[in-house]
Amino acid sequence: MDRGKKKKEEEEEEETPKRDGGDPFEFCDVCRLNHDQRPRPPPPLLPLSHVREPGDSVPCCNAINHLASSEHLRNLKGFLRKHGGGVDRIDSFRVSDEELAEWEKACKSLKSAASTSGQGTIGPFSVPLKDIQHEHTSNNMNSFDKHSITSSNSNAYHPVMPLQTLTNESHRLYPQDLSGATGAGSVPYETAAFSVDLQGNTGSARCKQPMQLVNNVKILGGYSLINRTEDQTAPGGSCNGALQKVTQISCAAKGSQQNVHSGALPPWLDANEEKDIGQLNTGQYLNNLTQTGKLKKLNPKRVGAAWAERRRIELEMEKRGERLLNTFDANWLPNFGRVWQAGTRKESKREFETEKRKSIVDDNQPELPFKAQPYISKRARTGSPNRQNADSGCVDDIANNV
Amino acid sequence: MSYALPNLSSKREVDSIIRDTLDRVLVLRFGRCSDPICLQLDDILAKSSRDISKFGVVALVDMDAEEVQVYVKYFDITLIPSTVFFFNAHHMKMDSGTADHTKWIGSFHYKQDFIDVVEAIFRGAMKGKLIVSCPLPPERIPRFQLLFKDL
Repeated sequence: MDRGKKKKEEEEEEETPKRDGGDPFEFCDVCRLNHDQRPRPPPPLLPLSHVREPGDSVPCCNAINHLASSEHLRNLKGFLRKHGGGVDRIDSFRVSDEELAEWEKACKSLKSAASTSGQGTIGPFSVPLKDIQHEHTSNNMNSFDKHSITSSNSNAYHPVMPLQTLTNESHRLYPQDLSGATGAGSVPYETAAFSVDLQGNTGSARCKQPMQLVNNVKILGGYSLINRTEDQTAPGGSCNGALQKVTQISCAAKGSQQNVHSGALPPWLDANEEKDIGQLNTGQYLNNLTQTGKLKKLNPKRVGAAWAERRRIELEMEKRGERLLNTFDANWLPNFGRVWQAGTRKESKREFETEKRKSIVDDNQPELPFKAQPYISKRARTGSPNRQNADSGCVDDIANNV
Repeated sequence: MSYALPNLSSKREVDSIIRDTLDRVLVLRFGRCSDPICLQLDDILAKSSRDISKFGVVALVDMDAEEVQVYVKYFDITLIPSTVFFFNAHHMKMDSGTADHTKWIGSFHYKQDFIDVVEAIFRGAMKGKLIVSCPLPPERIPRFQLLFKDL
């Protein structure tokens, strides 16, 4: 028993570090890990990884300003000195002044573009945007060389699309069909949301770093195809989409292209067409019977009952093809009680028709040119007979005009 | 939402719809698509058209169309939007306390108001009445001034 205890103690001594002399293990505040004294590569810096955290789609401007600050540089130098990293690589862990100026310029241009476009542009933006989706699909999450802000300049003017997937789900993206899939197409509601967001936050556009969505239409298309189509799912038959597990079923009639999209009739209508014509006729006959049954229930004293009966018979005849369509007069007018009506509706209709005829006649008659004549007083008119004869025409004209 | 309702721009179309609507109230809105009150009324009409489909039919008439001017004059339309009601090709009047009983001028406050009006007209028409009383309270009836031949 004592030997067993001693062995155990020895094992424990071997396992446990001797903390009396020196520090065999050092706790890293940044990584929150215990490291032994053996040299190890410097751990990735968490402050920068916060910027690219899967949950954050838009890194805060405060983080960028902090990364460009002198305080961060001081901390960084201390960290690298402490953990033995190369001090020459310090620039890859911070934002230089030039990069900061470029970012601010991009923010300004994005803000001005959002304000000048009025309602906000829907679609790609020609400003350098952060490509966070591409970062998640790549294998270089930890190296900041490739994903620094300077790298965004190379993709500055590529057309970009808003995110079509949750960035949390990025690890589930299948890289297959990246070259072939171009089905990103249009996601109108998402683009609208994106533009609305910009429009709504034009005031704080400076604070938000514009997103760069690389030309990953293919990736998105591949993902969307995986999610939606049956052919591109895993062979196991299940589609690991973002939200649901959908089971793939085998398409029984793959050869025939008769489906909803090709405009074919549904099977129940096809089946009906195969029935005898006699059955259809009986169906129609039954319909007529039910209709007449309903009509019998209608009040025969209702408004326009006689008109309705007549019209119904005419429509049935037209359906059977016995009568030509639209045989009524072009000048037909309905029964209408006018506003300034005096008398029955028939009289108002007649009145309107006479007014209409008068207006047509007036339009047809050419307008006589108006002749301006001088005024002749009564005395002058009743004066000399010579004057009377000469001016009678003028007086008549004046009288007519008055 | 006016895309859901038929838009009539010729006399022939108006004649057809009046003649072919049988045993249901025909609601004809005369107005312009650009007018704000017309738009408001169109919205209410579009939303209610399904609800009244068993006893009513709604259609929009473009007042600016040339062929429709004969109806604009015949119906004495001077203010827009103006809504005229028919039943079996007969004009239905409604006494709403305003100067003009031949049409409804303006929009409705609620969708239910419009449905109530159409129902009242339908019930009156089925009883053989050419003029019915408006079921709406006076505060929800739009007021306007009617001038004799724009004098």
